[in-house]
Amino acid sequence: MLNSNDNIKRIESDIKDNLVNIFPNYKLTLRNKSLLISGVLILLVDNKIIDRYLIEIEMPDMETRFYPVVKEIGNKIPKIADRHINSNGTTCLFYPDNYKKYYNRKTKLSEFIKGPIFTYFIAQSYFEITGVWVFGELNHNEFGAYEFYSQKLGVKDPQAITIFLNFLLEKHNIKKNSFCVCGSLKKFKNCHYRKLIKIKREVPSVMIENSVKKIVKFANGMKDYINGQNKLKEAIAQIKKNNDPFKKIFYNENSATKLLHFIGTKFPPKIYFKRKN
Amino acid sequence: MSTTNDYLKKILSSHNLKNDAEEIEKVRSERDKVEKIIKDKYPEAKITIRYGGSYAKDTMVKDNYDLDILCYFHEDENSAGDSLEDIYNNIKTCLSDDYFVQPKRSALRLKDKENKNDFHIDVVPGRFVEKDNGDAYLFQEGAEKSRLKTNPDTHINYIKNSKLTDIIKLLKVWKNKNGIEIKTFVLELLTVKVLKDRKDNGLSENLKYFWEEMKNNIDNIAVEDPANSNNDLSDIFNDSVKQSIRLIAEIALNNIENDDWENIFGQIEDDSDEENNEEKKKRIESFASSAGVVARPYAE
Repeated sequence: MLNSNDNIKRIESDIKDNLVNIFPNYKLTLRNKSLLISGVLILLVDNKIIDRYLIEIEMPDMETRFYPVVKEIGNKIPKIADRHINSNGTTCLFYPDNYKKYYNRKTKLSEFIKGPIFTYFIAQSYFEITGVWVFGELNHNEFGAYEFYSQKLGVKDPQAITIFLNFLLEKHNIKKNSFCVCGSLKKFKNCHYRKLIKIKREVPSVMIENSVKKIVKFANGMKDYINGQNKLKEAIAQIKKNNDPFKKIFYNENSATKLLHFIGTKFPPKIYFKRKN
Repeated sequence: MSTTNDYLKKILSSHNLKNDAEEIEKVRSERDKVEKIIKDKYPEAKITIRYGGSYAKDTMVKDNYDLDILCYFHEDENSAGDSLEDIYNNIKTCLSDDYFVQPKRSALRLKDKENKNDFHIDVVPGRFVEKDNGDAYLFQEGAEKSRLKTNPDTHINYIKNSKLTDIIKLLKVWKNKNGIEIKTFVLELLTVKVLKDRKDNGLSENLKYFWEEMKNNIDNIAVEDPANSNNDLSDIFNDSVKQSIRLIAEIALNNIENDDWENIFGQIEDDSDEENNEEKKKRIESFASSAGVVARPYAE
């Protein structure tokens, strides 16, 4: 049991034994059946203090939450997506589907704190000084979902990624001896099959399902974007060609974008152009 | 308790920023430069440039110090513009040739133009309503009310005369050591509000009382700006800030119960562990180069 006395004692002794230098001041509480560990995380590197953050860790129940949820509660970090933090202070340590790399039933809390929590806050302090993410970052929301699976599968086409993930959800059948969806001209069983089976073992279906929705949304957004770009080019070309009296008004990208909205084409959200480090 | 109070006094002195400290000398010379830039730009203007903030209130601590330079145009002076927003923007433009200027709500943070190193200086442009009584108006960028009435003398006297500056300094050290962000102005007002009738008690007794109040009563404590009762501080002293303070106050009280004051304020002189941004940056880069594959943050 998550909230059993034994479990609480185990967590306390884990923190005392392994985190005495970086998490010396903490408090354990039970709130709505959740076990919370709140305290000051000291970013100690080579015996020098880089920074301090007040954090709250909600332990997973392994039924609805599969890894600890971490909040920054000292109000040091602006609660905006560009800082990889939600408005309620919940941090986005990694792409959720990748959680098993960092946490499973056997992972000690101290390992999770020394691992992704520690590096996340190190990255925040570095960003505060330089404006750069020292370990890199994933894009937000739908683009991040696409980016994660695109890199994991080594496939760029969002449609192919969707088919692969739907195969895992048993919503799309791919025969083992047919050509792989990725276009490699290899048989599926000799190409992406094993990778997909590994993902199936690692990621709960509910998470894959969520990612598919995001990737579909991303693909649709890209379609709108490409259509929009083409319509924009056509519109500008038309204005130039006809020596239209509105040429002066629309002859720059901003005005042309306004024109594009005017003629009713959806433009993709700004998020798709987010700079990557 | 005398040993605890001795320890706290040593902590105070190790975090104290003396007038001749290297950090202060640096910001002071920068202040002279700022004053010259503004006066060169507006040579005929009637402007008062003076220190404000924790430097003037004598509540500066080493861990987190800022120097506020108040730059108030006199009531009939419009060389930098008619409106408060004009003054704010014109001062910003005027400093931008020499500094990287980061706009804050009412102040302009000055950083090195090339490497963005922080000079720990905030320039606060404004205009006197009445120079004789010190009342002034500030522009508030992005706030519901764009104009804020203030009075630096009232603020300075309120804190200086409270006889609680030592406790305020210790609470600033405590705040920094717990990684929380609460406006220093609010922490100062909160301290005076809670401890105004307990000035003669020792440091340790007062700290304990303060933290007990934070743990048990913080939701019922309202702070008021002594220079402007209409200044609504609820957005900077909100529930989330209160929750954080309550938590760290509780942790501090647990440490006191175990007679472990060092767990609250650290060892004497341990602030030498703190580094400047350039050193921190290098240290993180070296850590990153040996960290291997690390989780990349994402956002919903």
